[in-house]
Parts: sequence; structure tokens; C-alpha cells
Amino acid sequence: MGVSIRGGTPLRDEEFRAVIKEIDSPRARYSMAAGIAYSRFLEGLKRGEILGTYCPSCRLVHIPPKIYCPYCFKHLTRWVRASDEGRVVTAVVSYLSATLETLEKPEIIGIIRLDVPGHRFSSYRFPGILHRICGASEDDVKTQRIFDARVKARWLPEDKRTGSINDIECFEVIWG
Amino acid sequence: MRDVKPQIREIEMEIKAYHYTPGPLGLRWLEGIKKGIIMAAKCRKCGNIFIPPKIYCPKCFSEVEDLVELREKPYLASYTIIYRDFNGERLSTPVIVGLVRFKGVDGGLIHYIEGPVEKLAIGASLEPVFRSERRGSITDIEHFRLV
Amino acid sequence: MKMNVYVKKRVAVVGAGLTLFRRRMLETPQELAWIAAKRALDQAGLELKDIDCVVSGSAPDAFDGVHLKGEYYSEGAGAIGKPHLRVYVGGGTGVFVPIAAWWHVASGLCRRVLVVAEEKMSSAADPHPQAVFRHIWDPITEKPLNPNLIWIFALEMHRYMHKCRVSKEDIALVSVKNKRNALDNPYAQAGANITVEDVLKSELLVYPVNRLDISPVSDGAAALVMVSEEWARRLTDTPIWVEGIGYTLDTSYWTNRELSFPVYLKNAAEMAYKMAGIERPMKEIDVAEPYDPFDYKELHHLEGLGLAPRCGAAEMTREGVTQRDGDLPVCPSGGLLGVGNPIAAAGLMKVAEIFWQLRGEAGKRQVKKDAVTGLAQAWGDLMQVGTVVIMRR
Repeated sequence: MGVSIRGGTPLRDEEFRAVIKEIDSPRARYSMAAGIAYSRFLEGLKRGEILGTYCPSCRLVHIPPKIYCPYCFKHLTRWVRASDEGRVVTAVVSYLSATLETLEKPEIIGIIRLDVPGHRFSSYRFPGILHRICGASEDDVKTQRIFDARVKARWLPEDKRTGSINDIECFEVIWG
Repeated sequence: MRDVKPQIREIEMEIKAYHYTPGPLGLRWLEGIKKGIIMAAKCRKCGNIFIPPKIYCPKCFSEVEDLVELREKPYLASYTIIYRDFNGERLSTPVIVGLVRFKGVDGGLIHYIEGPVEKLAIGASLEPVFRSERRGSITDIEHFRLV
Repeated sequence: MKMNVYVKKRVAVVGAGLTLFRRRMLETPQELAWIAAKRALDQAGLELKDIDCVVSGSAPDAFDGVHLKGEYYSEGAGAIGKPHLRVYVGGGTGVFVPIAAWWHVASGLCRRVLVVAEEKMSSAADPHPQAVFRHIWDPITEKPLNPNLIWIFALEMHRYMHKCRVSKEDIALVSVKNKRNALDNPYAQAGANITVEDVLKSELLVYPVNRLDISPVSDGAAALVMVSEEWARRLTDTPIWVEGIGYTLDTSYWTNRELSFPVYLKNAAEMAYKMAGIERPMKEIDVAEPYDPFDYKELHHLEGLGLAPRCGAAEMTREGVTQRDGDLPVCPSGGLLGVGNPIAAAGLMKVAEIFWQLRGEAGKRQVKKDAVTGLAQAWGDLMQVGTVVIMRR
């Protein structure tokens, strides 16, 4: 019976391992330019500041910042400093590393809606960033107690900062 | 925003290795090479003979199930001489890479060419030189020798 | 027919073909594309020489491990010597391919188009195809946090559970249904009779996501033949008409918006409904194949498509509305959860399933109601892309 009738030739794991094949390792290393807005954002993180750009047309503060508003297509030139506090929009517990190995200590990850003094946002679009959450338990996530909880950035000591999103160690829950 | 210090970040590709399977007919073809035989695929429907083999005929799109041994010596359809390596360093000995084709066969193989330089010419006759240790790979052929 | 665009030619699907969907296949990407293409041509009763144009799709080159992947597999997709276009919108690709093929026919540019989607994820074997997803993130603001793909789904799923008061049990019902449906699908990789309990007890990966909430990694290809009306009438008594297409995009700044409702999809669906003259989708769509790489996504997408009230898809699922014998059968193929998820091919498989359902050719998978109008949908990129196709008998 032809292979087109069979719909192909599945391989079991051990067959895949044993079958004649070519194995090749990619050796790619990329140098990513952070660009204009992110370079300034990363410099800000080094100083312990979270910076965004303000769109006068839709009044959104973009964090991480952009030099244009993706919704209004306006050139953005006004920089604002956000508070390093905000609220948890959603959170999860990761039992896996980035490469799918089981983590010894599970990590809590969330999206944080940041406060920007003097600005208000709709419930649909807001300055939100992805980060680790600390000071909460797995149970706080599973019971959804963590939703809407107040958090504050825990910064690395100044001499350890490199201009990276990891200059913030995590966002720590302020239970109250 | 000219006061911005441009930031660059290094990022590494994270697939350690790709594992490429050769397909059902490609598998039989590589097993042939392991035995020191070069074969081509033959389409029963339109008679097209082609290399490297696949389960379909690139000419008439029918299913292909047969391989035929290529007994005639291939010829050099084109070549290039390489003087620098991948990083731009000058090679101590230039390397010749050629397009190896077989009379009456569609397609061809790209491979290393060795032999007396005075014989290097388009149309020159070639013969495969197999490695003694083989695993079922195009590199089981060490190079094609000018004859 | 009510339209919001000028259509020169009406477009029909007259043939579909699939490879097996499996974790690892021996065939090369070219060969997978050929198997699906050949089977679609066979069902349409055409040969490659009858085809005017080829439209194809595949997800990142980094899965198959061949850059210029489109050019590489194009031979197996039958594209040599013909106008060929490869399109790509992440996971939304599979449904975007027939949309792009529709342009070719509706514009009058081509009369008979071969439509192919292919994915060979097993090539990225070491350490795991998942590693490819490490490069979808923003390299400056997200990637340094070492995210894995499941995070983004887990974050969206948990937000949806929180906003809509939906339980993990409700969501698991989708996985149970789709894997059971897949038992009747000869192409399926992950058909199984499982219970809600099995889903909840499967390995916890990133709370709230357990292993059985997720579709598997797969190799596979899918294909359609799409033709103009005059060719459709000549080739078959039962053409299936493509009556509406929709596709829209949001930004990749997915952390900046409310995730519990997919606005990107609502916009795409409205475009397709308008074109198809559909005003009450809940009443007018008979069978649907929304994109289900994760089980909650089926619920989320049903709501985005307007096929369920907001936060109401879980209840519909609980009540059996979405079963094959229900009022709105959803993922009768078995979906990505049951059939498998070779990314671009999985989306096109959904369109093929609607084609077979509307023709009454779905065999044991045939839905109970007399289905006249069907919808297939895929989603892609960072919670960004909605692609929708509406078909009618």
C-alpha cells in the first residue's frame, strides 16, 4: 500500500532514535538592539525607575515604552515615570523552567497593572507588565486571593543592576 | 531622544540540535549509500529518474516507490573553487565543490571534488570515493574524484 | 448574499486531504505536504496540471529547521512553475491559508487553487520543540524572565476563570469531549476516553494548566482544493461555498489588555459574518471548529465568535450543547486536543473538517443535525490574531 494511502509513516520514539537521519546544531547568537524607547527604559530600570511614554490622543501610558502609539499611530515624545507599585491582573504558578524541566521551587508569575500618578486607564487597556510575584503562596494563586492584590517592585541593590527587566527581582505582594 | 545610550542584548538560539528524517524513500537511498551504492528514484508513471529520491515525482506528482542503481559514472556539471573558510580565513588548500550529475537523471548532488587540477573541467567524468566507515549519509561519500 | 466587499468570483472548496497527525513522522516536510496535496487533488478529481496557483502556510521555520521553508516544501505542495504565496500569522496560519486562497479565486486571478499547510515539529528534537517558542517573546522586556509558552496561556486562562467564574472542571470537559471525538478520526494522534478527573489529576505544569489541558506536539499536513463557481459546478454536485472570511490583528503587547475576552477574534468574526450575511451567529452557525490548542481556548473563542454569550461557553459545554449530537456541535473532528497540533496544518484540518461535515462525508464523526453552515477559526501570535472562515452547503 502506498504511503499516500496510508497518510504517512509514523515513528515510535525508539524508531525515531534509531532511524538514519542527519543531526545538526544551529549556532546562532543574536545581538538585539533595544531600540530608542527600550534603551531609555533599561537605563531607567538601572536607576530604579519604571518609565513609559504617553499618548496624548488615547491617553494611554505605554509600559514598556514605545516611540509610537500602536493604536493611534502618533509619534510619542512625552515620557512619564510610573510608580513601582500596581495591582495583579492575573497570576499563575509555574512548576516548569523555560526548557520544561521541573523547578525545585515553583515560581509565581503575573501581569501587573502599574499605577501612574496623575493618569487613569480603562479596564481594557492599561500599562501592564509581565513579571515574577513574591510574597505570595501557591495557595494565594489557586484560591485567586492574589487577583487585584497590591504589589511593589523589589529592586536589586543599585550596584547589581545591569539595565534589565531583571533589575526588578519581583513584585512583592503588600497584603492589607 | 538623542540622549539615549543604545542598549544591545545578546540572545542565544536555544534549539540544541535538529534531527532531520530522510523520508521513506530517502531512507532506502541512504541505506544504499551505506552499502556503497548510489541510486536514483524512478517514477513508474512518467518514467522520470531523479536524485535525490523522494516519495513523489517532481514532474508528474505521482507516488514514487522505486529506486534504480546508477552504474554509469557521473559528470561535473559545474564547479566552484573556495579559497576562504566560513569565517573568511584563507584556506591552506583551496576546496573544490561541484554539481555532480548523472546522464539521463534529473537533479544532482552537490559534493566535494578532488583529483588532478588539469582535469578540472565542466563535463569531466567523476567517480565516488566512499569512506570505509559509513553510517547512511551523503558524507559517506568522501568526495568525487576526477578521472 | 450580503457582502461588504466586491467579489468577482464565488469560491468553493471541492476537495480536502490530510496526512496522519503524529508526534514523529518519517516523511520530510516536502513529502508531508505532498501526501496532503495529493489526497486533496484526488478528492477534487484534479491533477496538478489543472492547478493555476498554490497558496501555502507553515509556522516558524525554526520547527522544521529549514530556513526558506516555504521555498523548500513548495515542490511537495505542487507549486513549481506556478504562482505561489506562503502566508504566516503564527497559530492563525492554518485558517489564514484558505483566506489567502480565497483572494486568489474571488479576485478572478486564479480559477483552481491548491491550498497546503505543513508542519514538522519533531525536527526540533533537542531539547524539545517547545524551545522554538522561547523566541516568540519580546527579547528585551520578556525573554530575560525565562518564560515558557505555557505561562502566557496559563495567565490568560486564569484571568478568564477569574472574570467569568469558570472552574477547572468546566474547562476540562472540553478536553474530555474533544479527545473522545478524536477516537472516530482516523488521522488523530490523541483520541482517548478520559474523564474530568483524569485531566485534573494529570501532571500540573503551570497552575491552572495540567498536561491534559494541552494539545500535543505533532507532525502533519493538510490541503484543500478551492475553485471558482464555474469549476465547482463542473467538478462536483456538492461544492461547499466559502461565504465569509475575517482576519484581524491586535498588538503584541498582550500584557497591556484585558485577556478574558478576545477582542481580536470578535473583530475578525464580525468581518466574516457581515460578508456571509449572518446576523445571529448563535442561530445560524450549525457546526463550529474553533481553535483549541488549550481546552479553555475553545470556550474563550466560542465567546469571541459570538457563538456563546460572554462567560457562557462553560455552561453550554456542561449542558452538552457542544457535543456532536448537540445544538451547536463544536470540534467534531476532535480538535487540536484530540487530533493533534502540527500548527499550520491543524488550523487547515479544521477547515477540512467543516468541508466534510457540510458534505455529509464525516463518517462516524458526522454531526447529528443537518448542518448547512459551518465555521472554522484559528488564533495566533501573542494573543493577537483571529482568522475565521464561514462555509455553506
